[in-house]
Amino acid sequence: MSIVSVINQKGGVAKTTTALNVASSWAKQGKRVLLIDLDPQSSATKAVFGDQDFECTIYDVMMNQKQVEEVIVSSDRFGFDMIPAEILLSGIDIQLAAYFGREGILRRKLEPINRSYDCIIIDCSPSLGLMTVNALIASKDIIIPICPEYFSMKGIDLILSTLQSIRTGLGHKVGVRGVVITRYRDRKIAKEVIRQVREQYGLRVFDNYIPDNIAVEEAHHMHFPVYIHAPTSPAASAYMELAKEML
Amino acid sequence: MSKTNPLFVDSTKMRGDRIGTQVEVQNIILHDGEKLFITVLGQQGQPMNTELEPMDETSYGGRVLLKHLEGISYQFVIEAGEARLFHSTIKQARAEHALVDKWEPVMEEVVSLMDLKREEIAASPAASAPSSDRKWISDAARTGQSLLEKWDL
Repeated sequence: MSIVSVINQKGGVAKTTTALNVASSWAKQGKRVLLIDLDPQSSATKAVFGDQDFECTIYDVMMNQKQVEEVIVSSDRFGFDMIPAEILLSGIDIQLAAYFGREGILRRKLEPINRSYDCIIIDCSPSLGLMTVNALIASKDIIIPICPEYFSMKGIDLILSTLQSIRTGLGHKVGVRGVVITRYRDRKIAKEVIRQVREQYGLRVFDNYIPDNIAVEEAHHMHFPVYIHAPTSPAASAYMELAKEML
Repeated sequence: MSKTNPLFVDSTKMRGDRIGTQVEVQNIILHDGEKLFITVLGQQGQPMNTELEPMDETSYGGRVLLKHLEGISYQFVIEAGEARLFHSTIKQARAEHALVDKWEPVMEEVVSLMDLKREEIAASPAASAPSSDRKWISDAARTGQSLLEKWDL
C-alpha cells in the first residue's frame, strides 16, 4: 500500500482531474483504490457524486467525530472508494490550531484501513494549510501536476520549499514520485518548461503527457472517468498509460 | 535563522524537548583520510562535535541530540588526522528535526566554533539576532523614537 498526494499550490493545473482519472485507471487495472478529497471546495466529491450531500465526510474524521471506516463511500462508475469533503474543512485550521499532534491526524486515522487498499490517493487543496500538511505527513510521496507554462515553475519552487519545511520542522521526508504534464499542447514553451523541470529541479517528468482535450471537461460534467466517457479520446489513453507509469 | 511558520512546528514537542536532529550536508566530496564533522553549540553547554557518515557520493549525514527550537550555532569542518583542512562559516539556526545545508568552505581564517565561547559568538556580527528579531527590535526602536519626538520628551 502506498499513499500519494496530488498537490500543487498553484490552482488550475488539473489536480482533481489527475487524481480522479489516475485513481479510476488504477481501479480499472485491478487495484483497490481509495481517493480522499481534502479540498474544502469538494471538487473531486462533486465530480464523482454530483450535488449529492454527505452526512459524514473527512471533516468528521479529522475532528474525531467519526472513524474513517464510517465515512467511506463507493463509486461504481469510477471503481474506487472515496472519502468525500465538505466546505467545513475551510475552518479546520482554526479548530485544530491548539490540538496536540494536529499535523499527524490524517496519518493516524488512516492506519486501520491501510491494508485494505493497494493505493490511497489524496486530492489536496491548493492552499497551504493544516490539511495540506496532514496530507503530506500521511504520504510517502507526491505527484505534481503542472500546465507547462512560466508560472508552473514558481509552483514547483513553492512545493519543494514546503517539502523542505515538512522535513525540517516535522521530521517527515516526502518524496516526489513525479511531475504530470497536463493540458499539453505541442508548443515550444511547453517543451522548454519540461526540459527545465527535468534539468533544473532534477525531477522525474512522466512520459505520458495529458493533452488539452475537451473530453476531460465533458467527463467531469457527466460524472464519469474520461476512459468511460470518451474511451477513444487522446486524454483517456494518456491517463491510462500515465497510471501504469506511476505505479 | 528565519521566521518560523507554525504550520511546520511539531506540536508534539515542547520547546526545549530533546530531539534527534538529522543533519545532512550536500555537495561535498571527501578524499582518502578525510573526515567531516559538525560542531554544534546550543544556548548552554560545550560545543558538540559529531562525525558525519557518507549517505551517497556527494552527501554526508548524521544525528545530533538538540533541544527543540533552541537557537544553535553550527559549523562544518573537514579534518585529516589532527589537522583541520577546511571549514564552513559559523551559521545560526533553530534546532528542528532536520538540518540540511550545502557544503560551502571558506578559505579565509575563520575561528573554530570549538574555540569560541557562547558570549563571543553572540557578540560576533555573523551571530547577531535573527533577521525577524532584528526587524522587530528596529521597528520597536523606531516606534519608541517617534513617540519621544511626538511628546517632545
